[in-house]
Amino acid sequence: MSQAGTSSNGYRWLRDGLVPGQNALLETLWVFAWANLILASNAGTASHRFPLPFLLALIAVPALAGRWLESRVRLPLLVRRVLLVALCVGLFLAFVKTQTLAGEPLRGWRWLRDAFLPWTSGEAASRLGLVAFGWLVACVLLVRGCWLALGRVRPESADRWFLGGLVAFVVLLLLIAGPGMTPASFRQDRAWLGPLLGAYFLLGLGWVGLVRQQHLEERAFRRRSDRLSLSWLVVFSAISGAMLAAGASVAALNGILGGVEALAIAAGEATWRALAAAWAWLTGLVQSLLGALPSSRPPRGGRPVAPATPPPAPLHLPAWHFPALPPFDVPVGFVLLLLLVALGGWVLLRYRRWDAGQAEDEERTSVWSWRLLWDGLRRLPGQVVAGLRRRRGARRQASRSAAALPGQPAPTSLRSLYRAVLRWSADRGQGRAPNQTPHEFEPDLASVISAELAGDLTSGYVRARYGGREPPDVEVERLRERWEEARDRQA
Amino acid sequence: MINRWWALLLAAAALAGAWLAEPLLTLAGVLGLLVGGAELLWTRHCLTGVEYERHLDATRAAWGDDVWLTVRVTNRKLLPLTWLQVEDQVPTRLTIERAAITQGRRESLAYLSGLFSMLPYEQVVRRYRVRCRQRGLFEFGPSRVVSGDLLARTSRSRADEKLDRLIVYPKVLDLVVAPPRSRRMVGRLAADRLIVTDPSRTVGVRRYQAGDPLRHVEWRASARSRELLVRVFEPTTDLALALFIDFLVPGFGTGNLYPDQLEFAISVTASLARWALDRRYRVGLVGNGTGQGPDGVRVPVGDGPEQLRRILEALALATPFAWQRTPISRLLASDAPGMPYETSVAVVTAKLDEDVLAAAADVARRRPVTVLHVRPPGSPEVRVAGLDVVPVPYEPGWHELERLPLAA
Repeated sequence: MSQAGTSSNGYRWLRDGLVPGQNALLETLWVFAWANLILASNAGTASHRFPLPFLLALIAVPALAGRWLESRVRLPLLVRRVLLVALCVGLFLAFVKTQTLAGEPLRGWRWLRDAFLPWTSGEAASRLGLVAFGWLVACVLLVRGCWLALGRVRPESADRWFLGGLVAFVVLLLLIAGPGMTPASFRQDRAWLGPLLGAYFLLGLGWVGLVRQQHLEERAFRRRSDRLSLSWLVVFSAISGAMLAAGASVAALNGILGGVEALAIAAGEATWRALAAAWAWLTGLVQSLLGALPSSRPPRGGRPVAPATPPPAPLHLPAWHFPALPPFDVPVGFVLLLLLVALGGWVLLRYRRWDAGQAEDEERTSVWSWRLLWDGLRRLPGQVVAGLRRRRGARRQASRSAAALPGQPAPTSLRSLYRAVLRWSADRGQGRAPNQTPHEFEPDLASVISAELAGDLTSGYVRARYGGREPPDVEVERLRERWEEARDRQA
Repeated sequence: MINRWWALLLAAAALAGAWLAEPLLTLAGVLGLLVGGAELLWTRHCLTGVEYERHLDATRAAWGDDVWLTVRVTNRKLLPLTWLQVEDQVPTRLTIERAAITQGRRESLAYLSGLFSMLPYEQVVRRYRVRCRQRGLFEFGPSRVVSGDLLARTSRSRADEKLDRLIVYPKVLDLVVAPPRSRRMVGRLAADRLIVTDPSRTVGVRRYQAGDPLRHVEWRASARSRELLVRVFEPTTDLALALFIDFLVPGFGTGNLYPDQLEFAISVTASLARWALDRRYRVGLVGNGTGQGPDGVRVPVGDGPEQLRRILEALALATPFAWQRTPISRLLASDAPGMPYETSVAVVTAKLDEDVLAAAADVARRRPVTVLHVRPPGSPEVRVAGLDVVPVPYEPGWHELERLPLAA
């Protein structure tokens, strides 16, 4: 059970309200797109759609209510769980009734039988696919909602959920990208995909950032934070908006890329024609030269002489293909969104004294000047070159050290692994001073590998070295793999 | 977050989108790649152009003063920072108002933590009030700045070893105390005595009495008044006060590194020094604690304009920790005999044992000695024949005191 699952912690709106709520919204976005595609692909359900708010309710209501029950209501655990299950059952029945058996009267209660045993009724059996799909969607979303209610969102899991949703969008777009791959009844839904993807990206990035920020504040101040830093929100929104705008600009270049593609095809075709013409001319020349040579008499039988070279085969070149420019509403929409984000950021900056958590004696001023900007830009190429040189030097150093220790076995104990990490860290200028304890060195180590890995390595080493408790081999192997992954990433 | 395989997948999606003229697919791939690229960019350049400065508006403070600690963080680059964590080591014994202080792994370590989000070319200045309610030498720093990518997955740190020091003097109370005695018959200061006077300091005339030396006759005044008058001289003395402070207090070494009773004794010593210097006595200090110099806690007897500062600073920097502690009785025996003749000795101690009393009695044969016994209420009062033992009542709430009357 997570810490959120104990009522002693109390209700915190950020941890128990905003984070699970935002998570629910995110997952609803890609589930909505997929549900629509699946419904549109089936001839029997092509005209049916599940509404986004209802899908959102299936995740968000159990998640938020469950969190509230767990952390605020002082009821026995069993009663809290029963309440949560009852809520889920109610939502499930409401969804199945309204979305799959809408035509049946509510008071007749026949719909209940049709909902659970649809094959027993001929009317419902005709909609078996829709009922089954409604079952699947409702169950999956409710289970996810209960999961959010009972567990706390960790930074690592937040990353995975966000990327998983992004991949869900990518796969969906790949499926419908080919010619003729989009079901006819889904064409109208395609217009929604752009805003859905944009919203998913903005909300998702903000959600992952929020979870990480909370984690960071807890680590920095060693206490739970229930404060949404306005300055963080402004900076993060501005960066996310800029990234979205950059992505949209690149996507808008698709037309230009299509033009480049057409130009490349035309150039290839011209080259091919020129080569073919040159080949024909050369073969003609060779033939005429060979014809001018004295030859033996033709055989008496009058056998026909085959020509020296066959005529070139006709070319089958790809047809000219000018892809259509993307519809203008997508880039314009993104630009408008960016403007809105910038406007919101400006308003927040203007009135940022509303931030209750900000220290009263804090002053924020701008140190911007043209000279500073120019200096920064002037140094940029040098920094890039120096970074590349450093990287190449590090690679060379790594290969040299690998060559210097041929056949060195991988560290098998945690202590030898820690020593290997220390040597590697020292090569990167973060050596451990003789008077530093492992725990004192941990922050320095965290600057070259991740903080989690540094913490795990250090605590494991201290336990093994001073507590005499060697971790199991599987654990050492896992730590070694994590470290090698971090090392390879930096190399 | 975006490792090599994710990057390949997203790049493939973006290329497929470009090839199939599907802008949304390109957008999805490019957005994912942008997240990965941003992670790399911020991880590499998050600390470029970031400056952290700390400033104390005073290096010395009297007990009870408030000192402002200013922290300045500047981001001199185009990249904004979603998070920038600053950890600045601060003394645990001083109160810093409205600051987020986190405890270090060791009890003696505390950090002033700050988490900032910074726009491009932005400077954040935070000011904290440091309340000086403990004497001592306090160090601020070293500091550490940590930042990383947008989502705080990776981090880079930079340490700054610069230290700022603040010396807080001990609390000085207004004392009501009898003046010390001196054996010097002639000196700079007036004395409350009748027998031996200073012939260089005439304060008046009186009628001649039989037995008065003729060289004391004031002839001009006698001529004017038509009766024989003799000069009256002022009795003078030269007062000096040597303060001996014992850093060994009951209960020291049982986990409490700064026993409150010792702090009170130090405060009484500082108050005595100021009291004496205010009356133009010369004052010196000897203690068996550990000071900044090789001689331990030791200030030669003097009365220069800087003498009070010297004594207060020596007391502020003194600590009770010592590898080989010299008992105060041995210090008395070794240092007191060599002091100027007029020096009166005051011993401030919370642990009045036989050795201290014996050493004080030995010194008292050559010069006046007063023993100030800092004792908690209820502890037995010590009385020794031929030795001034002044009880100094120690109460845990002594920090609130402004005035301390001491029985002579």
